[in-house]
Amino acid sequence: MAKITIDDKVIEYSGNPNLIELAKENGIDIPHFCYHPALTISGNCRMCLVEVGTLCKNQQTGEYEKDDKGNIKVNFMPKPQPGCYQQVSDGMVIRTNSERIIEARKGVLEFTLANHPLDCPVCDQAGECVLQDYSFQYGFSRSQFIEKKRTYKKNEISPVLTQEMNRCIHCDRCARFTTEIAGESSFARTWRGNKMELSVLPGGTITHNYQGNMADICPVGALTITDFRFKSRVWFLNYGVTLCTSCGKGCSVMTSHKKGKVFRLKPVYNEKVNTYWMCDHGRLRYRFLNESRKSGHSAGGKKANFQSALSLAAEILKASKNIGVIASAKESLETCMVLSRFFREVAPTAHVDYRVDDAQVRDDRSLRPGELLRAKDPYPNSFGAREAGLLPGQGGATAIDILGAPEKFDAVVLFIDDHIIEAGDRLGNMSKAKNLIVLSPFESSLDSTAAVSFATRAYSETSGTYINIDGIRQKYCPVLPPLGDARDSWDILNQLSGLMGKSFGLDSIGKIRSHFKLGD
Amino acid sequence: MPEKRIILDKIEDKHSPNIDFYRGNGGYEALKKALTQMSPSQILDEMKASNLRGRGGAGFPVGVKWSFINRTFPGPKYLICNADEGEPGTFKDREILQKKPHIMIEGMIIGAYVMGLDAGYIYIRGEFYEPIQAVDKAIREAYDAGILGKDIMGSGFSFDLYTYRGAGAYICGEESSLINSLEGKRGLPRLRPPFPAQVGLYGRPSTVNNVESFSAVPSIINNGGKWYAGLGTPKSGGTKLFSISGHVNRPGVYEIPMGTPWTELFNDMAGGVKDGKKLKAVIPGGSSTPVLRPEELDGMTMDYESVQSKGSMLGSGAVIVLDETTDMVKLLYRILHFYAHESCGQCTPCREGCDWYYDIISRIRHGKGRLEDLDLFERLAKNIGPNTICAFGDAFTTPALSFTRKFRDEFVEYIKNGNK
Amino acid sequence: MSFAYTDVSMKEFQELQKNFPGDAKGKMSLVIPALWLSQRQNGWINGDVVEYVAGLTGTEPLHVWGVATFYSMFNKEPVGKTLLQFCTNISCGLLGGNELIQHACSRLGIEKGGTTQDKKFTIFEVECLGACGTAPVVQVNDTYHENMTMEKLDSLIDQMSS
Ligand SMILES: Cc1cc2nc3c(=O)[nH]c(=O)nc-3n(C[C@H](O)[C@H](O)[C@H](O)COP(=O)(O)O)c2cc1C
Ligand code: SF4
Ligand code: FES
Ligand code: FES
Repeated sequence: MAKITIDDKVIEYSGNPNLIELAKENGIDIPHFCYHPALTISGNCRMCLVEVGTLCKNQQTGEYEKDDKGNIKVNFMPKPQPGCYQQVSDGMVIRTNSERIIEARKGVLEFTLANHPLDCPVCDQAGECVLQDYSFQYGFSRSQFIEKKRTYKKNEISPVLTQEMNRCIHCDRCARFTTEIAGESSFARTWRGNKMELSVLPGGTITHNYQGNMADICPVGALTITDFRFKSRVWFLNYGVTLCTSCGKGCSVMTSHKKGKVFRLKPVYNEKVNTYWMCDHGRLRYRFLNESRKSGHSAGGKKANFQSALSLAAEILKASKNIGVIASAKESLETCMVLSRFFREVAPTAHVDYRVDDAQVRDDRSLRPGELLRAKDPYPNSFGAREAGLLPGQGGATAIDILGAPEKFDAVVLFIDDHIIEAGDRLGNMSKAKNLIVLSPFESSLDSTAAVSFATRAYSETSGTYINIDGIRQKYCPVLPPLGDARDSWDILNQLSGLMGKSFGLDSIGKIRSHFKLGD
Repeated sequence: MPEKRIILDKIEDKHSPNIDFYRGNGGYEALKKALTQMSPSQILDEMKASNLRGRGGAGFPVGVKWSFINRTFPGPKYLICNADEGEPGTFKDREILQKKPHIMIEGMIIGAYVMGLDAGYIYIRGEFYEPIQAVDKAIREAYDAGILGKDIMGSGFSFDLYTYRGAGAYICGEESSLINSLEGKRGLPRLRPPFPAQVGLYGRPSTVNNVESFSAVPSIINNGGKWYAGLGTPKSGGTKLFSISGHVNRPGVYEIPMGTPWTELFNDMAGGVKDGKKLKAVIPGGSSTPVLRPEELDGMTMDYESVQSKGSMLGSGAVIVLDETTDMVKLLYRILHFYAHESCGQCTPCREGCDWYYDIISRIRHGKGRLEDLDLFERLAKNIGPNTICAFGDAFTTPALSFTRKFRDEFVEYIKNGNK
Repeated sequence: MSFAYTDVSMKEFQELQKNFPGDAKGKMSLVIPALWLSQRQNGWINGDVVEYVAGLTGTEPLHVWGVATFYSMFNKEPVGKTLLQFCTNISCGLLGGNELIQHACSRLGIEKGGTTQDKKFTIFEVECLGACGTAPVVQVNDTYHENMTMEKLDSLIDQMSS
């Protein structure tokens, strides 16, 4: 195996690794701004400079030359080299923390900061700013830049992003992302030299669905997400990793929240699903978690405690022969399993279906045209619901049928999720339903007509598994506490099974997983 | 040693740009000899023996550069002539382009033959509108005469040649930004490796040489590499064109053997300092090379080694003469204005550094300088040149350091007493 | 779209196409020549020109704009009929280039970079034109005027004013 030495540490490697990555895997951080593992190398920021040396070999004898102490002599290149671009080769010696490199890094940083406004107190990036971090690390106190700082005219670049060109360090990550990842030519370097800008075509705008990532990878506060501007200092936020539920892809996301409110979503690296990115649609849909949330149950439009709501629901289901069930593929695989069993064994009916969207009806696993991640299917767990068998039995009605004529059923069990609310017209006929039982994390006008309406936990407040359009199973955990008396849907169903004399005894997610052999 | 006109031979004749005149004076004989009597490797040997070093500024041996191309590499390969001539003080290439384009074309075809290249582009700076017309006309003449295009002179070798007009960017003289510009992009220097010989124009193997470098080739083929080398010093072969301008009586382009004493070029040919004034300083190789004081010129000869031994560089051979009246502060201010205007802007130390330098010199020039500004030039320079992508970083720190070191008094005077 | 090549420009463009490979890379090489033809016809590079050139060369408008803004000879604003470009770099500066531009500015009543009200003249201060041996140099549209003097400049302006 080939070997290189980084800061006296001998490292074995194979293939053709990137030096920054190789160092990182071995616990050595090479500071950088413009390098990003998913983008082409630009080598423009010069922050990643390292010393590159090769072992001295005697041309004639082919033997290594040694110094007085018997160590092999190393020939260092006269100039520091960008680590992001340095081809690694066997026997190479790299220094990332020599005096010379520290000095070079400080020097580069001084230039990076020369025209930077240092307006951290009013910058949203503060706390997440790579430039700020390095500045603390290497110190910019010595800067003698007393000149007037460069300023740019402010440009509108898109509704999603706010550009503060004065803070830009010209690393070109955003523009490379736009062409290389988003496949759009809407944002690029224009003008030249000290006047170089990152800009849209005059009068143009960025239109792709991945703009938030540009703000994420901007090492400074030059690009920020308009939606999050001035909402909160990032160090006052709490963080939790979960999945995005706005389409069938299921990107891994970091939720930032404070006092039970979600402030933003950011993608989390997930090699199999979304790598570094997520789409703006999903990113900005976090709001549904904050709005019209239900914390308590009701019966006949009036507040009801959980037990009485349960008893009422059990009575209705016992008394009904012909039950329509509209499930939701926002529910976890675990809930879907319990639900499926419930309507086979406890309150048997053939009219069960999760497919409220055309893409689900078509079993569509494809992405929307021109998209990198966003699936046509707006639900995160259609394939979990499918696996659980939440489909009409022999002669059973489909979800669309039930939504069209709910009055044909003795009772209707309806899961109301954010998507069906957003879709608007779908629930138009539901007030005609007899004996409507609603399960939802959201308030809706149907709460007043429903016989029973349960408050359920949103996915961000519970754990479970989703199966995405590519068949990938992903578990998620709660990142927020549940609201009020809201329950997990599986919990409600499990308790109903007890009340209806066929107790499942599945009172924890762990039991569900083992019962249905879903792994641990 | 008097002037030795090889490239400039008969250039003053008004018919010099025409192919008939060129051929009437032995033009395209070298090409014929190369195509019919010599193999590519024989030519390469002569080129190496000639000691011809690139005339664009860096002085890299042309024969060695030509040997980097793998002539059997499949697919198109390109030859590029660097006619961007942007280094302030340099105006020798324009002379060739406008008055004797065929000698450059002949050199290019020979180069293409040696390296097995399919097509060539002459990248000419956008301001050179008239030279472009002259080169275009020469190319047409050469096509009509069967010297360009298919089966050149019946040899079976084919080569196409085109001009490309730049649009105002000094950095496009740097070969990798030139290639980007030729590809219809912003002229940003590329990271290296790979070098153009592996990945050049359109990602194909390419060779870039200066106008004058190509123009020296025909005489090497006609007379042999040894002969050419013998004209100059042991390490700097042949003759070189010097552009001499500024405070000098007879400014212009002079072709002299490498190693000609400075005094001959300056006094005998260029006529010494204009209007009998005293000499203050000389910039020997274009605006990016260190300025020399009169006493440093003692014993200097015009070749790479000698100028280097005096602490400067031969560069593109652009000699700028400064007389005693020259205000070094204002001059440096003007030079740094140029560099601040011309940085491509991609890499941090250069983009920020050249503007910072310009801000500092602006303050000094306008009487708002501080003594520590001179140290600041020194300190910042340490983190520019070694850390940039291309040599532009050195190009602007070098004059700043040499001016302020060698004429410190004048800068101190401005700092202390303002601009009088 | 309000910009399109005249027949003459189009013919020249088609001739230029032969200089480059026929693939997308070769077509991109045409961006700069196409901008040149546009500027000759239109005087400056505006949004319509950018769109048009992008269409001709199979590139994106923003790419064309990025190129146009990189190169100083592409005018991003309209200029007068006569573009006077004064070199004030080293040798021209030493030999009177600054005085010449001052003179021209005060005679035409405009600042450096400005255009006369009658749109006849624009004055630019430019970098070394590569003709320092005949300094000072003034480029008038495409033509170099070398060894420039105040008298020559005055008669040039007279000539161009009429
Ligand atoms: C900033 C910069 C500007 C340059 N400008 C020119 C130029 O105007 N003309 C030129 O021939 N070479 C110029 N060069 C040198 C070229 O990069 C390249 O070395 C040269 O064209 C090679 O040709 P040669 O070996 O024949 O000299 C420049 C280099 C740098 C770094
Ligand atoms: S040194 Fe200057 S000109 Fe060269 S690549 Fe960097 S920014 Fe561009
Ligand atoms: S990270 Fe290597 S130059 Fe920017
Ligand atoms: S300094 Fe004016 S042409 Fe060179």
